[in-house]
Amino acid sequence: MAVASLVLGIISLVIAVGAGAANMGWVGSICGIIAIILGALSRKGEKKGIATGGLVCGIIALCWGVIATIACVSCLGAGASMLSGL
Amino acid sequence: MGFNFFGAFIPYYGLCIVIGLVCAASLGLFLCHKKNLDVNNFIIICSYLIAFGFLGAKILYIIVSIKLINFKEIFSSLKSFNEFISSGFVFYGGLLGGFVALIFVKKVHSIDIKEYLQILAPSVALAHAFGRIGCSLAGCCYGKVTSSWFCYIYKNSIVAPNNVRLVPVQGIESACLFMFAVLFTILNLKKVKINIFILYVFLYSILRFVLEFFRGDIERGIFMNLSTSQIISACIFICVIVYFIITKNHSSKKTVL
Repeated sequence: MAVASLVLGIISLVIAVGAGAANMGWVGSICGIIAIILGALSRKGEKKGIATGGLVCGIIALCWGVIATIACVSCLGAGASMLSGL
Repeated sequence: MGFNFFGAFIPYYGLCIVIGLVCAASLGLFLCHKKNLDVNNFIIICSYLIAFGFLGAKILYIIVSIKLINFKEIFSSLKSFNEFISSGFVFYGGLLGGFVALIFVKKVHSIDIKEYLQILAPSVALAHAFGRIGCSLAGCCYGKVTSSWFCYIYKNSIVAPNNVRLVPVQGIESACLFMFAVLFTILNLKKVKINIFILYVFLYSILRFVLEFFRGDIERGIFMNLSTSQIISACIFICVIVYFIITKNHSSKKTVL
């Protein structure tokens, strides 16, 4: 699980940074959250170093993905208005 | 609405959300250390809360704005789908999603969430406070037009009306949430025997119900002259009162026995 966390953390980081430019950083955020959960679960057992690595990568990917994606044109409503062409 | 940083556009709202999450996580980790709780469990709970919270916030936004959303256009291209994903969230949907997350964590990971809920109250309040700063900077969730000196005037907002005095509801809510965060942190450190999370939900329901009267973004769902958030706030308020009555009766019976 620790290795899975690290691998997913690195992948999420790459996706968040790479796809963030195309406004798809949210994909990296989702992978990042999974990496964080796996990393935190693994830290309870052995291979804490690898688990921490996955955890850190996941956190960075999550933060980067949120910044790159959540522009929040409107918390409510105005975004829908724009999308419906009003 | 944002700024350029070495060629990359950084939106204010996203940045505020991240700052809020980092500050909230730091506060939570500090309180975990003070109360000798497992930090890893706190990280797991927070991760599920973020995931389910965003999902819940998006789902409630879709429910409330369904008449305004053109689904055909959303799925017509990747760009419009991404725009749909990145904008439009309702806090109460996030809160409801958070409740689902807590049940999920308890069932799947067998983590006793009671003690962590006490820590989550100030953390969530802090994250929410920063989120409202983001709303203020982005121009969303704006207030009604006012003639008062106590106002906020947007100059270049693509959401809020520009060059008009608006009630600064986002700033007011943010200030109140910062006060809640401080209060709940003190209650945690003093180890006061009170359900801090229920207190947060109770206080926020009152705050949100009142502030909704000063909101000017009429795209919110309206039912019986109350907005969706006001109806949810009223339901939460009633549920908390019922909870207090039930727990009081339960503890009275225990004393008698």
